[in-house]
Amino acid sequence: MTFRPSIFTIILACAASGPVLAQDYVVVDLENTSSIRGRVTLSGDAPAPLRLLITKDVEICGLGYRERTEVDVDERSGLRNVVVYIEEITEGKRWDSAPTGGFINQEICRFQPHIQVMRRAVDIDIINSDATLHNIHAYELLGRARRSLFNISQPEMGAVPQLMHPRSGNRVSLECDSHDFMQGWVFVADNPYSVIVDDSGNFELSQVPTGTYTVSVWHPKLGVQSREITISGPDGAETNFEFVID
Amino acid sequence: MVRSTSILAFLLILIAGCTSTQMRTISSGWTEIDAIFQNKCTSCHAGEQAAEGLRLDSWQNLFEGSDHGEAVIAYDSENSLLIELATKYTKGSHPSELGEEALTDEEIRTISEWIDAGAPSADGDIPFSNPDDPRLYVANQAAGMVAVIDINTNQVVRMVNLMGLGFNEFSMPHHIAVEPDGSFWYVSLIMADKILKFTRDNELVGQVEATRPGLVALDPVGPWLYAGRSMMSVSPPESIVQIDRDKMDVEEIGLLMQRPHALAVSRDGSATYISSLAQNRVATYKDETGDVVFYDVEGDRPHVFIGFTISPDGTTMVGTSEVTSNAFVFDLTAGDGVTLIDTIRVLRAPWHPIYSADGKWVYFGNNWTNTITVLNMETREVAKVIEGYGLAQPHGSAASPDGRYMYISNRNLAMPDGHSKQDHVYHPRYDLGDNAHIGTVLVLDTRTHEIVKIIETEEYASGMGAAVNRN
Repeated sequence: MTFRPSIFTIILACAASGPVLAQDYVVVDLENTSSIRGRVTLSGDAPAPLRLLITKDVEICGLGYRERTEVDVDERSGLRNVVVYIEEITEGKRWDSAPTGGFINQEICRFQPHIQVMRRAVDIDIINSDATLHNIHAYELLGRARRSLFNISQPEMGAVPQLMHPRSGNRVSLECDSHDFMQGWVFVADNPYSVIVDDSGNFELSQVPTGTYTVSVWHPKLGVQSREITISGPDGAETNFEFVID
Repeated sequence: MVRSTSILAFLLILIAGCTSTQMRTISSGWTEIDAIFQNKCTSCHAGEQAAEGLRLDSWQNLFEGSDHGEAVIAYDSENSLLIELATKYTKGSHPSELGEEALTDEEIRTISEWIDAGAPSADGDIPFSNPDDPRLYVANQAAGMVAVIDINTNQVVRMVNLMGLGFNEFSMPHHIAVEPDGSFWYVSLIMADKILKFTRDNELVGQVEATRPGLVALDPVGPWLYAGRSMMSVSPPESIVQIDRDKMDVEEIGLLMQRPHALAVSRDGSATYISSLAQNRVATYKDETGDVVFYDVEGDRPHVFIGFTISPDGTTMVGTSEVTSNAFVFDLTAGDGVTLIDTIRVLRAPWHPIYSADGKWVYFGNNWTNTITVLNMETREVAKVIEGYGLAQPHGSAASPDGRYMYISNRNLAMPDGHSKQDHVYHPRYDLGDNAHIGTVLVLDTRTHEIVKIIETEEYASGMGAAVNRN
């Protein structure tokens, strides 16, 4: 009898060999941990800020142009708004030691915060703090493709719950179907080793067990870089990333 | 004695000044312009094979424009491409970037003065002055300007600069209505809280106050001009304005409906239809009785009605919705108000709709997908989705009087990187350093449903109006 794999078995096989998802991550008692520290910088000139015209609800959103700095650096080229994360780590520290967000606030026609880390498959609050209609539309980014994740209309102020659970990707873009100048970003984490860099581009992934890991950085405009890092002792490891704009 | 000397000196200066002015006027006549063109331009821009289709070998040929549009806008050297290419082109003063000899500063000044004097012919004729020629008016919401397009040649022939009339750059001209005979046109200024009345010669002859006016619509029978409220305002008055367009007197008509926006007047002038950005509701206002009838459209979220268009026979109205992306078809013949008879799902954010002259089609741009949808109104289905370069956040619509062409305006605003709207941004033909996000007007041939021309205007091309305006 010849075995012919069905579509169902193919899907199962793909799922079994896929990324380590949040439900696969195991919290364990840790010994011999240390940190991965570093800095993300930009080489080259950051593009000039965008000038986005406010096209609706000026009493709330403001009149005229909103300047939007898509590549934001400090005076020492430290790059802001970057997510640093360990890929496919199966066990480690508790989730409550990680600074993950629990809400997306639409306030003054901006997504607040502009970029954040959220834990996969948890309920978050979608908040409308403005006295006008917001219609958050989240997209899961899959390479160059995108898939609609959720689409919530909020004509009234207040919060509504929403499960944050992209099917396979980690990166989510936020738009408002009612205000085209709004945009935000979420990194959906499968483990607690995911942080946003500070205002100088510095980061620290703490309580990392001894081992070898793939550390990645994601900037919504500049893309993703990855590198293998080994932690073998209490001093941890230091690694820097540099994005280049020619 | 001293005083007499001063007076004499003053008179001498005055005479010298007059003489100087006269000399400038004479020196800026077509004869001198023609000499400059012959010396510097016609080696490329002459004859049947003229570069870019622009012929500078006669006054008449100059105002035929190029393959793309106008080279000169009478009375406006600052926005005339011929001057902009000589003074702002980032590749160098045209034609020097081609290795040819550039225009001198004196030649540029001479041509500019001639343009600002109306670009007259040797006989003193001003281009595009025929009162019978049809016009299309385009509000440029982020530039404080209204572009006037000659429909016979599909090129910009005048630019009405509202800042020159005392309004600031954020006055935000939004939508335009034109008298059926073309004698006057009206434009709403959202942030200046005004509706202005202009003659066909673009002379401002009247204005009224109106809080955050948006769309405007003419009563085809009576004396009224109606205006709704702009989406720029969160909580504008829950009313529309009714303007006696002869006297330019204004009254408010209360609706008790939030954010009244989409607007159309019935073919017989008896009813005005208004819908809301915040409520799924269409109001019918009867001017004769003062009655208002509401019709609620079902929906699990605000549809956010954008615009209405009424069929030439007056029996049907199509309304577009931004957030739910529908074209709603209403029957106008049953009962006192409207009755929804069909809902057509379309691509995202359909904007200003317009019926074709024969009533068979409805056209509108899809603001989020950079497309134009054509609805077949006999089958009430999407007949065609038009894609093409130049479509960049399409907004307004208008028709030529003979129905041959449809016009779709495009905002072409900057969008964040990775945003749904970022694709297909229009890049201007010539980089002038300050024109990266100029708006466009696309010319659509209604026989083929093909885009036949891209007309560049100013920032944020939004609402439009033409003498036969079926919006």
